[in-house]
Amino acid sequence: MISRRLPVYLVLDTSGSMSGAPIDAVREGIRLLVSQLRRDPQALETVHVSVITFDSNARQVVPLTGLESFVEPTLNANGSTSLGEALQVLCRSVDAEVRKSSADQKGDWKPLVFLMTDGEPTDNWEAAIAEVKRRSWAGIIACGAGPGAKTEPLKRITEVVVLLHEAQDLKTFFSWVSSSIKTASSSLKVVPAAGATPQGMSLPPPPQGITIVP
Amino acid sequence: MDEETLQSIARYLADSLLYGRRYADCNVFAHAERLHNQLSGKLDGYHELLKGWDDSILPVQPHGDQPVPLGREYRRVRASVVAHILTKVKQSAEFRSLLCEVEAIMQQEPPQRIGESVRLGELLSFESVTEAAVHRGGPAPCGEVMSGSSAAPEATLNPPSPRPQPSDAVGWSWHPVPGVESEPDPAPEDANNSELLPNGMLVVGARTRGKKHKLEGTHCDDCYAWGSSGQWTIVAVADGAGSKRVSRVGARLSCERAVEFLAERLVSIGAVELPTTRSTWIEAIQRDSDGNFVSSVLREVQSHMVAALREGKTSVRTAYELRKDQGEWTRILERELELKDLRSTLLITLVHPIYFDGEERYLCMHLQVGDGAAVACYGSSSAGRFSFHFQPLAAPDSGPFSSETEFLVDFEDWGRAQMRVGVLPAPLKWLFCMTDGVDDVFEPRSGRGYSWLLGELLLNQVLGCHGDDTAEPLPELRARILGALDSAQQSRTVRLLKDPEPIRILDVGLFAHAMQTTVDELLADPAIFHQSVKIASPVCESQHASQRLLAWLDGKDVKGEFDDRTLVIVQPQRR
Repeated sequence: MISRRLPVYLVLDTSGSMSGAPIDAVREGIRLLVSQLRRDPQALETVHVSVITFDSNARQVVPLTGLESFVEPTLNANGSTSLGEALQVLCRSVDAEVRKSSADQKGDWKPLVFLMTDGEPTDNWEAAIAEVKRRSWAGIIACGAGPGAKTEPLKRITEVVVLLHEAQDLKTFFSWVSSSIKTASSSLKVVPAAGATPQGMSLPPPPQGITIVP
Repeated sequence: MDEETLQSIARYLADSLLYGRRYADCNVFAHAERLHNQLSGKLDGYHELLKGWDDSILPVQPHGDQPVPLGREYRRVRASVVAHILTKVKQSAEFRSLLCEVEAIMQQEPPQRIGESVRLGELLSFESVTEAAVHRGGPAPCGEVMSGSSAAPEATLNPPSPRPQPSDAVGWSWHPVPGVESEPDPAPEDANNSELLPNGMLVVGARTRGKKHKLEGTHCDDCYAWGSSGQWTIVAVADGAGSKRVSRVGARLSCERAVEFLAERLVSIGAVELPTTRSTWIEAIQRDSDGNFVSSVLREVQSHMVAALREGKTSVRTAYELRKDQGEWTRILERELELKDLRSTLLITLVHPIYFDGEERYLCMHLQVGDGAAVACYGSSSAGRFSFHFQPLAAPDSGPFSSETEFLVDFEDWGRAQMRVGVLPAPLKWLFCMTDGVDDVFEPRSGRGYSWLLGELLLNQVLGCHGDDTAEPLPELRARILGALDSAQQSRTVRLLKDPEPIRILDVGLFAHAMQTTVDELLADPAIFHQSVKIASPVCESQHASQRLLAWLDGKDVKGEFDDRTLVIVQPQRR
């Protein structure tokens, strides 16, 4: 039976600079995120998570999956930072996976995107921004992880950009992502269904170590 | 590959899925989780194989030290997963080759050998694990087997039970509504009542909180009211905005005022003024370019209905101003009380008996602001088969297409207020007036349809609850029905309800599926369906229909549905 899902896309930088402590933190962060969400009964019934990683190329490593079925992907850090390709993969995945409301079917809630990068994009990312803007989202939250992150490209993608002081503190970011998703899933009627007009979503205040980029 | 091997591989896969995926993080089954991770890593098609399988039939287990289903319940569930896998395998060569790969893995890592800490031969296959545990009634043998690992598992298994126990829905639980000391405007968490109106209509209604409000310990924001005036039956339902704590006041006042107002105004409009023939009816429901009815009597009723909306809105505003001045809500909310804190939807439906070329029919008039629905059910029978039709009385305006529901307090565009009027082509059997919490589950876009609503109310004996003189079914049919009822029983109910006694809720979709038919077919064949209802509950308990309605609204668990629920059923009695 069709029920409305809350699609969450994690778009994660797995470039060479992420190797070591940062990518470990990402792995641990995803694990924590999923485990925390599983304990929230409303999230468990609605949240579906997908993981897209990008380095020299971008790919969807976990398709949109319910929390009970979600299996953490294997992540390796290696290569450059193809943010543009990541955004293309994101758009294609959303087109294929997120159901739109129509006369015949109940649509999903609008997707939430959490994008994380620790550096500077190395591909033609500007072209991909138009693709992102053409689609509707419940919210895109971009995180620049660590001192090497450039926030200007992120600001072009979304209003909501946060800066994480140390890349190895990525676990904190994921914990905040988990609270944000819980907030969204508990106020679903405020998050419009896919195909409806946009409306801002409210986020919980970011924890220590994360600052909002004005 | 022979059938038996296929079966055992599919079972191996199913076990890994059930323990590894469904009960992830549960230490006792870490080895199964490892297998699951391994399979999903090695097999490209693993996720694909499991796609399309209906997760919702699985009892959801909290992680860690909670009891897991065993014996009959587990086997039933696993059989369903195996069936799903085998269907997929039969459909595609790609999946068949996938199973060969699994077979190869199975040979390298047979169930006994999964996990370094497993001693060879000590870990039985999952089936015998659960059986052994059932007989011993103690901790799983896996417990001993895992002693080499760092975390000592604390899982204990339930002693065997004669029927599958409803298992707890993870995280959901019931908390009472706030007391009057913590929040003004107290209201009971639920309501149910019924009335045989002087005009001969039987009305049954109930409302209950959804999962979300029960978990949060907040109020029910739905309300309903009904009344009558001569032959007019008036029903109103309202759904307060979930994010607004005072919205229940808005819902209640708009409902009650609308009904009260209409009962006064409709006194002067009687049957003698309504059309009686097909041609005069067709003429009467024509509208002019402003959307007003050509017929003066219908136009008058229409204006009363719109005025009733206005009245509802006014009474909410009055209530708001009173509370703002009084200040208690401002103190509790820690900000100024605003009119939108009392926001709710409002649906008004009128029913009046009429004659249509000498036939008894009913006129239905409906007006709504916001989501929710009123659905008229009429039926006909021929050659021993029934057919039920469902006519939604709302025009789809903003409701189903955007999730931005309109609210009465904001509503200004009175001319646009969606009004539907109709005369049904066959005698009205039931009118269902419901808020979104119920409509969302059954509206056609959900994949079900309103016939499921009727089927479920019949199966759970909310409707049609009276003595039945149908003959005893043949033993094979009876056995089939019993088996199907078993599969149809909703597995998770306990913690959702105020009353910890588990209530048996039968899911009509699962029942139809187990009977290898569709819900519409079931409704069409009175013999099977009546037998089923009779077997489901051989003696209709002394509970009133409204109590059964409340129990059903309160206990029915639907994945992804968290809203408060209201359903009012109007049933014409014989004229």
